Amino acid sequence: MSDKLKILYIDDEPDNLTGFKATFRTQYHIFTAENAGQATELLQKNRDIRVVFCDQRMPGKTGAEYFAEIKGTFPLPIRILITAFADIEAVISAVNQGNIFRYIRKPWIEQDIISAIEESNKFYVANSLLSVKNDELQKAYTELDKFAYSVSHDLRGPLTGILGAIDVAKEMSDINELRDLLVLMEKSVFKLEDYIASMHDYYSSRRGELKISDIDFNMVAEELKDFYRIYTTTNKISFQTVVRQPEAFRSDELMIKMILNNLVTNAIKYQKRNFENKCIDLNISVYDGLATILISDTGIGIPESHFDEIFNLFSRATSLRAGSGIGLYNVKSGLLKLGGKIEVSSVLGEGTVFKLIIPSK
Amino acid sequence: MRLSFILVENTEIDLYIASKLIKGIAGEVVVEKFLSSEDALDHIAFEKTKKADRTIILLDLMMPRLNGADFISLFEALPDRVKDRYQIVIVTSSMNRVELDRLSKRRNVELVIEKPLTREKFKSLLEQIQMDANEKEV
Repeated sequence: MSDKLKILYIDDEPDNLTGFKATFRTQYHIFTAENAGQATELLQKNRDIRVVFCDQRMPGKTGAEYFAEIKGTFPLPIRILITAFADIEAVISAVNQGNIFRYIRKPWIEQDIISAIEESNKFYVANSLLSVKNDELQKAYTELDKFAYSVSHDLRGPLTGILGAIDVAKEMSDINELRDLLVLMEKSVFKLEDYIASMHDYYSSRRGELKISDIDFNMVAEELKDFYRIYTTTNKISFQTVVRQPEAFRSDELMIKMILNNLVTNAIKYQKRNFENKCIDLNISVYDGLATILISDTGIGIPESHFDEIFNLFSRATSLRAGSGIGLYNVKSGLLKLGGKIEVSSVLGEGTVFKLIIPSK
Repeated sequence: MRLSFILVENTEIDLYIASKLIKGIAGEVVVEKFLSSEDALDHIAFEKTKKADRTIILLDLMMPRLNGADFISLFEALPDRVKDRYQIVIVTSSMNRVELDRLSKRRNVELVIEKPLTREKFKSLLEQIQMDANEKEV
């Protein structure tokens, strides 16, 4: 319907309800109820009701009692009591118990109601913003906890490895042994460097604004092939790309590249060792504003029991290869920002296929 | 006293360092190395370890799949006759004091060593094991 504020008015006098509705229907979306039962039904159906006005004197239940009751079940709408001067005791106790936001004296005048609604709405908006911020904060804290764990493992781990190696190296005289050690130290340094790069992706995929531009997937695929040529040649991996893009596609190029880079790196990293026909296939097709991307490899595969967790931060499905557990998390959160999704299918020991669907912006 | 070692460590460099230190300081002892904690646990549970008077398990904590803490819990579920042959020494870069404190109080955990494992730390570990062994004999 409209984006008018939704207001509920409860009064046992039908005349009052009609009057209220007639006065405010042009400005607000008004719901009316003659008793508590009707009111609760309306609140149930219309979760976005912002403000509830209720007459204090009603048969069965007073307005203050009704508000005390719905405070727990419908905490969001702002509650305003309409009352005659004689009920001031009830008002004071309702205010003190936090059951009502404010009260309006009967008979009400139009201006009072409007100002009450506007004030309530401000309060409502501020409150919901606060709860959204609180949720975000909670999430940020959870990730910070994970990050603290990761600092000791992924940052400190490779460093202590190098320190330990230096300690051992001091007593070594055999140059060949020293060389072996250097190779291992180099690996630790690469691991650190990898980690720092993925932390950078992590922040840009979460915080950065999207920069939307036309994307030519042929170019993207060519760049990927060039970039990974050294790795694919030295590891004897055949890297094939097929791109069908008959129409324009708009998205954030850096984000798309980050996503594809992570998936191709994984496809290279998790190849089976000593396997003859190592392959990576990248297949991109764009139709009807949707890009469908398939990346398949002949790697070690992922056990089905791990499908759900591989996209979690710091989740590792294997101890066979180096990894920080951030890559696929970045892929997933990048896709989330682009409005896309990802599916995985895999056969252990045979390979893995990631399927991405990304809408054009 | 015949000592032997089982290394459970998913980082290649740390595994290499530990085995170098052991061979350099403890001399010719049996060292069995595992990059996967699950394989190490199987090896112990099925009693495939080489016979020795005492076997020290150097255990990393932060490992994928089966982490060190879970390894200890599964280890504790093994029969006493198996468990009694081993002592666990945690070797970790974790800075989580609370967790380390809690783990160090577990029955089969002898000691917690902070990474990097160095000659000094390894020597004092050997001394402590020797002292413990003497105490038990007396």
